[in-house]
Formats: sequence, C-alpha cells, structure tokens
Amino acid sequence: MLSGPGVYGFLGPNGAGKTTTIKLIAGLLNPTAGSVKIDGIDIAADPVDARRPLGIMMETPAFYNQLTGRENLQLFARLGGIGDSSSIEQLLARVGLTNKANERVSSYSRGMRQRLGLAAALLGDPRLVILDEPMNGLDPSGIVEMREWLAQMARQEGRAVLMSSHQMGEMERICDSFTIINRGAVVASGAAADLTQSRATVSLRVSDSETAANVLRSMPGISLVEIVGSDQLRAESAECSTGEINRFLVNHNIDVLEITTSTESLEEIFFRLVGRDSNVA
Amino acid sequence: MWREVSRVMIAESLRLRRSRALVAGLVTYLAVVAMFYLTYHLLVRRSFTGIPTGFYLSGSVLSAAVTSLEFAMTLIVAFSVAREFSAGTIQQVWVRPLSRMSWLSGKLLTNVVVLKIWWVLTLVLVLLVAGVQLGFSDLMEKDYLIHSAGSMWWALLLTVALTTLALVAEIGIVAVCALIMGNPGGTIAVAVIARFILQLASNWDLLRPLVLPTYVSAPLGQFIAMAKGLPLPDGWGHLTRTCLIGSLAWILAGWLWASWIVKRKEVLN
Repeated sequence: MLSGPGVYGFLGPNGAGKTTTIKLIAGLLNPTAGSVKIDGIDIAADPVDARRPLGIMMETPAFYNQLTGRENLQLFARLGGIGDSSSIEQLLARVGLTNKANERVSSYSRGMRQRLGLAAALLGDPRLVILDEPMNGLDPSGIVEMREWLAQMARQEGRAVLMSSHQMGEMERICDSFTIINRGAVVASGAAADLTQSRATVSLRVSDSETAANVLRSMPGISLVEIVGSDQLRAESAECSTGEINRFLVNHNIDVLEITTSTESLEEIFFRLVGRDSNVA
Repeated sequence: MWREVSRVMIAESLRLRRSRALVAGLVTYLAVVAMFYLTYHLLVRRSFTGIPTGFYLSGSVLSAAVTSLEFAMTLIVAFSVAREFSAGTIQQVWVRPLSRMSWLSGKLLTNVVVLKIWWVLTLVLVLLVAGVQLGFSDLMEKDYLIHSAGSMWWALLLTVALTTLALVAEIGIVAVCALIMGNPGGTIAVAVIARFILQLASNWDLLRPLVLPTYVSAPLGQFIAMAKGLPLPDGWGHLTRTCLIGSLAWILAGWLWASWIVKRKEVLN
C-alpha cells in the first residue's frame, strides 16, 4: 500500500512478480483473487476513473515508430483526454528531448525511448507514477538525471513514485521505502531507514574475546555473536546501542578497546531475504 | 462514451497520417482503378448487353472497387489492432483513462471513415472517367429507358449507406478476432478464411440472407442492374430492410462479443 508522496522501491529477483504486480495495478492483467484500489476505486470495477491519477512506464516502453517523439506524446495525450499542448513541450524539455522531438521514434536510442516513456507516463500530471525499470538503457549521466527527476517528482511535486529496478545502489540512494517480493509474496516492506538499520553489526576489540562473546550472548537484544580473532568479535543487534553494549561488557569486567557499528546495505538485506542464488531484476 | 470515441478517432487519424497501411490502401486503390480500365476495355465492352450509360460504367467498376477496397481495409484493420499487441504499444494505450470499448470503437470507426473516403474517391474518379468517355450530360440524363438519372443517384447513395453499415459489422468482427489472437499474420489468415467461407455461404439460398457479404453484394448488384438499364429483381424497400436488419443484428452480436472479450483480454507481453 502506498500512502502519500515519496519514492517507493520495488525489489525482487527475476520471476518474483514485480512486472506482474505493476500490470495488475495498471489493469493490464486481471487478478485471480483480491483487488487493486487506487484512491479507493477498484480498477477492475471502474478502470477509467481508477487510472486517472495514474502514470505508468512499463519496462522497455513501446511507441509508434513511424511517428516522431512529439507526435507520440500528442497521440497519448489525446487518448488520455489532455488537450493542453504546452504540457507536452514542458515534458519534452524536462526529459531533454526537445531537440529530438521532431525525429521519428524509430531513430531513438534505448535511453531516449526511456526518456520519452517517462514523459508519456507524466502526461496528465499524475499523482501516482509507476516506473518499471526506469534506469534500463540510461547512460551514467542519464541515471543521475533520472535520480534528480525522481527526487523532484516526490519531494517538490508531491507525487508518489513506485519504481522497480535492479540497480541496488541507485535504489538505496533514491527510495524512501522499499518492498521486497519473492515468488509473488512480500518478504519485507518498510521505510528505508527501518529496513537498513533493522540489523546493525557491532564490531568490537576487547581484552578477551571468548569471555566477551559469552557475556554478550546473555545480553537481551543481541541476536548473533561471532568470534573473529583473539581480541575481536562481531555481534548483531537490532535493539542495543553501542553505549549499552559497552556498558554491559564493562560491568562484566571486560575492557572494550574499540567499538564500531555498521548497518546492512540494501543489497545485503536483499540477498539475506531472497538468497544469493537469485538474480536481481 | 462518444467523447472518448472521438478522442480515439483523433488520435488514430494522427497515427494513420504516417501509416504504411494507408500507402498500401493507396496502392490498392490505384490497382482497382487500373482493373477498371482493363475490365471495361477488354471484357465488358465486348460482351455488353445492357444500355451503355455513364452509370453502367460506374456500376461495373464499383463492384470490383468496393469488394477489393473493403477486403483490403478489413485486413488493414486486423493488422492495425493485432499490431498494437505484437509491438507492445497497447500497454501505452490501455494504461490511459479510457475504456477499452471506446478505444476499439474509435479505432474501427476511423478506419471505416478512411475506407469510405477511398470509396468516394474511387466513385468520383469512376464518374469522371464515365463523364469523359460518354459525356457528363449522360450522367444528368432525365429519362433513361427504365430508370431516371435521379433514381440512380438516389440508389447510389443508398448503396453507399448500406454497404457502410455492413462494413462496420465486418470490420468489427475481424477486429475482435485480432484482439483474441494478438498477432497480425494469424489474424489476417483467419480474416481471409472467414471471408472465403462467408462468400461460399452467400451462394446458398438458405444462408444468403444471413451472411454479411450479402449486405454488401445485394445493394451493389441492385445498383449495377439499374445502371445497366435492366428491371430490378427486388424492390429497394425490401432490400434496404433486409440489409439494415441483417447488418444491425451482426453489429449488435459483434458489440456484445467485443465487450465480453475486451474486458477479459490481458496484456501479457
């Protein structure tokens, strides 16, 4: 469930059901059970009204190749009941295609098609934008631009943006919250900070690692303790701060020489939840 | 709904302006005109038994022109609908706030309008040729042997209207086949086979009043008979009722079928 503006990341390995979910939201597939509601409107019952606040860019967006970029946007605007041609020019400028707008789409590179796809998704000023793999085919500068557009859409224009991507680093940078699915089911969902800090790894250098490990195992909130060397150990905790751990060890007469905390990256969370053998896409 | 349909028609005409299918239509059109000359000069003139009027000249080519143009347009529409699925553009179209039936209806009506423009252009060209060859005064002749020029102009208009209605039904049904199959080659094959079967069926007295090609061939045949200066085998009133009821029944059946299919159609690719 998406509520309010922000960038929502949608992750899962190949075949997990990301594109299927997006197609269900778009009404391109019919659900065998359950329902999709946009602004409280069931898309199966009233697809026209349900799609009004929605802008969608599917993976590898298709266009009419014999038409120019501008003509494609004009055509989709017509279909969506948008008569304002100035919005088309603004969108072309926004995605950097003004100079290429009069060229046939058949001559466009993949990156240009992605840009045009984004412009087509933004026709009609939708409040909810769904982007399936929007970074595909973009060069590094295009990725940076896309990141800026997404931030602008969510933070300045107040849109909710749901995006799937296999570029974990980019997702971690852009998204405010994530949903990870595997085999058609949600395995994790929540705000980015909550997910990445849900399991902090604490690395310690102590006077006696074996005794310290035994002490830490008895500490509430510590989930895993691993001895790395004679004076080093690692512990995982979702609840305890470094101060609490330090105090706990000192109270048990163990000298703490060094203590550092690191949180899990999105990639680590992903692989922990869906397994290393899964292909991310 | 009609507002949505008109939106689709404008969008579709935007697309058709650059369509290769239209170029194919133009080629078909030119082929039909060429066929007219061949038919008229090589075959019809030698074996002609009726009265040589300008309307005869027009009528003799109309049959060939209408049949080939309508068949070509059926294939073009089938291709146009199926191509949206094979090329993936349907994903861009069906995510817009627009009902699928409006989309389908708008697409069909645009193509029917385009076909009718070709149709009228063909007719105008044929009448011009008739005027040049036999004299324009011939087309305005007040008293032919049996039928007056006025009644023939009226019959021509009625023929255009009745064949248009039949065409809407035919193109609609082919478009639904295209929706189901989602691939241009297969759809065109089905359209050709279906047309062949219906054409065969229209030769049986029992089935003739029920099949779609009858509602095209019957008014055309009647007009050609008039143009030849022959007595009419059937009254225009009876023929109009038969064609109207038949075409509307097919349109209704096609509409119901399309509504059922279009709701269930999923975009998998």
